[in-house]
Amino acid sequence: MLREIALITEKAFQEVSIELLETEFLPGKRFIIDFPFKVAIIIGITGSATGRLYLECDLETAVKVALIMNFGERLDEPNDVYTYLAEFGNMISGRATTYMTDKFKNKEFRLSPPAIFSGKGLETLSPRIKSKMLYFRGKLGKFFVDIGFEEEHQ
Amino acid sequence: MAGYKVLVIDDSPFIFKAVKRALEPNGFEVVDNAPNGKIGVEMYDKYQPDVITLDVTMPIMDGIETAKALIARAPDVKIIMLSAMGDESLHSQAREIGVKQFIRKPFKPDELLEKVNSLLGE
Ligand SMILES: [Mg+2]
Repeated sequence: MLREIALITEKAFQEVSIELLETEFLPGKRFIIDFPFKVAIIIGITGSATGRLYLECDLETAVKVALIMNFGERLDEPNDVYTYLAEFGNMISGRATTYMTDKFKNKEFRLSPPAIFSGKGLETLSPRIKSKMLYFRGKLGKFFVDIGFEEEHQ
Repeated sequence: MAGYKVLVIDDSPFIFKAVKRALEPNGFEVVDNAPNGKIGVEMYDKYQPDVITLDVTMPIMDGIETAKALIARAPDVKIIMLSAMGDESLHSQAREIGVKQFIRKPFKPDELLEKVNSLLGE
């Protein structure tokens, strides 16, 4: 099931990037985001299974995404970078859980509002989560996505 | 469509901005942005909007609870559910409560305009 969920998440990420940002991201090999200042969004998944989607990029990429979302205009306030990226993450998670709910019969997934983290040397640990890591590259930058669920539900 | 008031209930300031950009050039007044359903219900009382765009995933009070509260207050309230989630199960749950229009995020301005006009034309 986790493999299917990873494919669904990949598809959701690519669709939302094209529809919202009009830019393509391609999934590919592992990388490390080495920019010192990173932004991460975590969206809780509830319902038939408990999990979360983790989305991470460097600040420069987050700013580019926010500016496109803001119709190319200057951001009204600096915090918009974070709230806009959070909505980007919400849209990807929403699209992915929609596909999951439609695909896995008798299962229903819902989301909790995004939590935003930023800073240097971000490191998150989710000991009870079994997850898949996805890496995306595009002309706006790189994104790391990790989707997973608590093991007892696998 | 001059003079019609639209309230945005959504925890994302981006969506408020996107709704404003889609509707204001067409004469709508996008009155305010409630960041959760609880404030959304209060703002409904304050503004008496003609149309509401309603998010699903929000803190404090989600879209389904909010739709219930709004429809209990005003059975004819016109709601467009504007959500990143769009599975059949969510839609049928919302339809049962009385929500009639749905848009999946991200949305195109024309799509929103068309659904708002169709709700107002009923
Ligand atoms: Mg939301």
